[in-house]
Amino acid sequence: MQVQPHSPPELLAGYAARPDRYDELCQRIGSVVVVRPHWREFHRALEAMPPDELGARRGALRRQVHENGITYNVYADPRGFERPWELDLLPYILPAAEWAQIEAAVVQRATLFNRILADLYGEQTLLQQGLIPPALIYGHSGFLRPLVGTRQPGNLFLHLYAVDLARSPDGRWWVVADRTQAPSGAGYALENRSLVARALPELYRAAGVQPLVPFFEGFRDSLAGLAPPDAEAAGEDPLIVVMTPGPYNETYFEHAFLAREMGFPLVEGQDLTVREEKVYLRTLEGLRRVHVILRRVDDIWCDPLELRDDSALGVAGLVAAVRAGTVTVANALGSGILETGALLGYLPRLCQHLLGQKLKMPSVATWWCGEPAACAYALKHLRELVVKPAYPTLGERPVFCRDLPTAELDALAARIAARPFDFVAQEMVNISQAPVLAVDGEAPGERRRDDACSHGLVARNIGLRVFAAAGPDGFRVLPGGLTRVASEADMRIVSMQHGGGSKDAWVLSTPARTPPLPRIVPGQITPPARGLRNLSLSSRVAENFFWLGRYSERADAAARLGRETLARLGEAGSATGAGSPAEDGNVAAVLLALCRQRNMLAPEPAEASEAPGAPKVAQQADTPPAPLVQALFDPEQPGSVVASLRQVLRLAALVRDRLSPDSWRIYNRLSEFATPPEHAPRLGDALQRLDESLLSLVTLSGFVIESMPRDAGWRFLSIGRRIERLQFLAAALSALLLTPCAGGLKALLAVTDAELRYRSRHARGLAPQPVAELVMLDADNPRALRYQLDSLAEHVALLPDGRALAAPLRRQLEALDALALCDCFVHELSEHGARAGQRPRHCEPLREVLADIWQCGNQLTDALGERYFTHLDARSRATVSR
Amino acid sequence: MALYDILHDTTYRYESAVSLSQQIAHLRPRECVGQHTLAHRLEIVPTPAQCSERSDFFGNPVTAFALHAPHSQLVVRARSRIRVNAPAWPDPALSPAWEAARDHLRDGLSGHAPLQADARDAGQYRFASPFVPLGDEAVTYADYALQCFTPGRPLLEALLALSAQIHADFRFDPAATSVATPVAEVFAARRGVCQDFSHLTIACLRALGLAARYVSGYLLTEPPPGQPRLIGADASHAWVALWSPGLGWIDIDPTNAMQPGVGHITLAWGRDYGDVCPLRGVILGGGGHAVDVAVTVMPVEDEAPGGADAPD
Repeated sequence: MQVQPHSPPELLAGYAARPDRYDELCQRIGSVVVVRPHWREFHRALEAMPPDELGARRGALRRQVHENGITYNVYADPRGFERPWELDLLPYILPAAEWAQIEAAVVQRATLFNRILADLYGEQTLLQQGLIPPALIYGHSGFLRPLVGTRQPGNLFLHLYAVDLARSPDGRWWVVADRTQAPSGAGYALENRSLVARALPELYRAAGVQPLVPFFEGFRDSLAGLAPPDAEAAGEDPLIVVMTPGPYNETYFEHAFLAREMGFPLVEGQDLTVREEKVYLRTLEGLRRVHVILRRVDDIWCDPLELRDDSALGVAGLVAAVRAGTVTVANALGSGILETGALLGYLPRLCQHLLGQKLKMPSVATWWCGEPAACAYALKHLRELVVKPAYPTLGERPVFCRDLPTAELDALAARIAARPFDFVAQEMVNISQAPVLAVDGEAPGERRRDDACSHGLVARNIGLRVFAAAGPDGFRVLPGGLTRVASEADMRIVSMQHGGGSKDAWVLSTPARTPPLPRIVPGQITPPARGLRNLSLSSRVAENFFWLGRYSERADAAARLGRETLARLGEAGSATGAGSPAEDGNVAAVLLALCRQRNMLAPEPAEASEAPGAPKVAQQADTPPAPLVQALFDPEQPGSVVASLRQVLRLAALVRDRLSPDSWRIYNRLSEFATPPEHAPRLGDALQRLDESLLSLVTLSGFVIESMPRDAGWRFLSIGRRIERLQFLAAALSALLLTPCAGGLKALLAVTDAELRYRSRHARGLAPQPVAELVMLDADNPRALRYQLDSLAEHVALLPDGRALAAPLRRQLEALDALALCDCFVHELSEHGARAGQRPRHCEPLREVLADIWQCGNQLTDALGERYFTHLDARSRATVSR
Repeated sequence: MALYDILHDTTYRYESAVSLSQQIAHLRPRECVGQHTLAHRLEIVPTPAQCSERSDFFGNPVTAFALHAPHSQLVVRARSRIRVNAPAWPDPALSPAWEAARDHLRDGLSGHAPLQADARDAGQYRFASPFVPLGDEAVTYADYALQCFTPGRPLLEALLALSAQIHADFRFDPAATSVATPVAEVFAARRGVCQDFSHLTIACLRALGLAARYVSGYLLTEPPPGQPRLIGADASHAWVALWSPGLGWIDIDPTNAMQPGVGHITLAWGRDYGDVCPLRGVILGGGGHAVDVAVTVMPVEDEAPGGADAPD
């Protein structure tokens, strides 16, 4: 790397340390502002970079985020359903000594919270002794009464805990909020680390940063230790699953990421079922007992039978299984109750009572209005406070009273007075600032221009989310965490949901505590110990793989057919075309009909009522290319290239935990082609776009063949591909081989990618029989009909109980073999027959076989659905009687 | 003292087969002051793959069962023989002022003053619950109740007045509401059934800062003189209990504006209907379904067990 002797002057030019906030980077000594010691080395290295270097690295980081498909879903986000993760290139740096204090405080708090939960769902001595006001618990919808009296292995209710910290102007750390339900962010923190360490490799190595990976490995291993004792007695390997609400959840990326990194199946509620008070995973081989559930579903949604009966996310009977002690849920059901600001004021005395210790880190001053004295204080000082609901309520945001008009403030005061138990008031904290790399003054998470080039550091408000996980010897803290950055210079809420970015957090090692040699990829967890990895496939995942295979093949066929049709239409419309206009018009009409049959083009009014089958031969293709160009990229047209690619991406997201990062990158590249072009493309552009889509699809299928483990997921993916290709070939053959049209054979070879192979075998030009041999009967051509049947029969027979399903495929193979010998096939398709003119070819047996094969594809799809897949129409529903 | 045989039959008919059914039944009457279950039996057809009994958080007996084989109909028959010896209502005039009950709960539940075990338990029923939400609308319930809960009025006098006011202002109309109708809608439409009147009464009492619970049970409806009892004509019933310091739980039936007596048989209690609904379940498959509930409360003259229909 080139090193410039002098620093670019603008790096700190726009950086304003504010006197009313603690600045993480700079400190004021007398009248001089200097960089804090633990930042100095890093700052020097930044300054030594050539002017364009930071911008280039930031660009590379952003590309990597996109390629890895790191997203955070925001429902109402104008940028679409999935929002790319916002990550700043610069880490947030903490010195070892300061971290040691944070670590100790977080361990203490996690321990304390676990003890509180154990008491609330056990003896309830804290309520009896008045150490926690009963109203705080009884009025909380997160107090799950059906769970009272349940036991947890090791008396652990809290397995993963997160806490949001902020620093006040005097440099002290405060707790802003606790996350005890199903904390999110640890997976993003790990991903941030691997990205930033890769973007700043030399700075990362030089800094001596404490690694994150051991924390996750420890957490994974301790989850295995939570399996109920009866599992061990029965000699069962513990099956641990990650339960997600599904891809619409805002942190779904993280669910899939953690499941994949830790080697646990990612499941949805419908994948699990309870029998005899035990939890099972529905797999292709049947029900498999589940021992530990790492849940990312909020607890009240976890069991429609005993908790919220309108939940479609849960598992009916889960609470009964927990009660029976046959499954461990982490965090325990009911743990969300501690996510209330109302509890904060009671923590010092609870800590003294339960742990015999002073609370190490204070919480932001909080008044729960359910306590009369606190309520009086809050009402008196309302103007300076932030008011929040005492019990978590969906969608309610904190109210900054300072901003309220007097009338609204009075109305709020009246609401508090009427229902004091429901509110907490909190002190406003001026949280600290840290440097963020800005290009043209715009930091991550903010609107920006891509042509921006000047860069520098700007100050943004930050908060730090720290994670602790229960292990055999107490809680361990992730050294670092998720640093969240407010999106605008004066934004007071630091939240991923409300916009804003993130940072990697670097905790420096003490000299005595030298970190182990940095790993090659700092964010990657080593493969789990034997017995933990589990590859059994849920029915839902199998179904998703099947359709993933079908749609990627459908996109491929649509692109090939679209390309050929456009080319023929283009030739037909231009006098300089290769063939005579009349001939090409003819084949274009046949191709258009095939497009319509495959739903790539809206049916013509006259054609709409016709049954699908061999497309009708139109006399002349009057349709100019433009409508087809538009239809091919129209997401509303069900069979279009764009619509099929969208399905591919949707399904790939659903099985994301089972896709390697490399294959995910290939899927991600496809997303470019899954959006309609902004302007209707000209013919040439359209052809190029189709070529590029095809190239990505081919890369994908090549990758699948080369790299995917040969497990059940791969098998269903392959079956889906083969069925789709089988049906496409049957339709294309029926249209282009049996309908006499000039150029038909050429088009057939083009859409089945067989031109080269044909030419290498037959130098003498096109003839129906050799084309039919190649596209129908060749057992070695992976795009021949026979090959699909062979391959399908082989795959299906290897499924559990799959032999019977393969029988119809074998019958079709026999029919194909018989066809090769039949007279009409030999005569009608012979060169002589072909030369006999443009009369239709009456090869009835061939027509029948093609129709049967088409049908066979449909029947196989139905049979697979019946035997292996989850039925979406058979979702569970709640019933009640009066 | 009175003796009853109670038949409570629930029949689900499904459009298509149900492949998996998990159910929780609150159909065994709980033991309580003045009421004792002499015999109880639960018949389930088809026979469940699994069936177990336990107590829920509120101390009600519950039966949990599951069916794993496909079925298109589920019949649950509960048979109970119950002896009722209802306690007399205390003299309303001698009950404490209603504000005293409110302040006692408030101070104890907020940690301001120590709280006895029974008052702490009553605190469970002091706050909003799924069927009785108390957001900003709570103020309207409080205003409605304050017409009866005038300053310093003895708690039970005020309670009787509220019950009478609701009975006068609201019309009994089974067509007006369903299981899921929110209290706010009932309050606006001024009509509903016993479940609605109970939830509304509870909402009013809790909005004032009092503890009130939902009681699920049966009511002996007397046939008009000279006419035979109609088997199955009776439905399951619901009423309310209010907690008073010193007096404990006092029942009130706002649907009939009466103090429950030997004609009221308690099945279970909880914060609201959702805690105690007779049969709740989750099914897989089934398509649409129809549910048919038949309740019969028959007075028994002679305690000696006998007759074909006697519970075992």
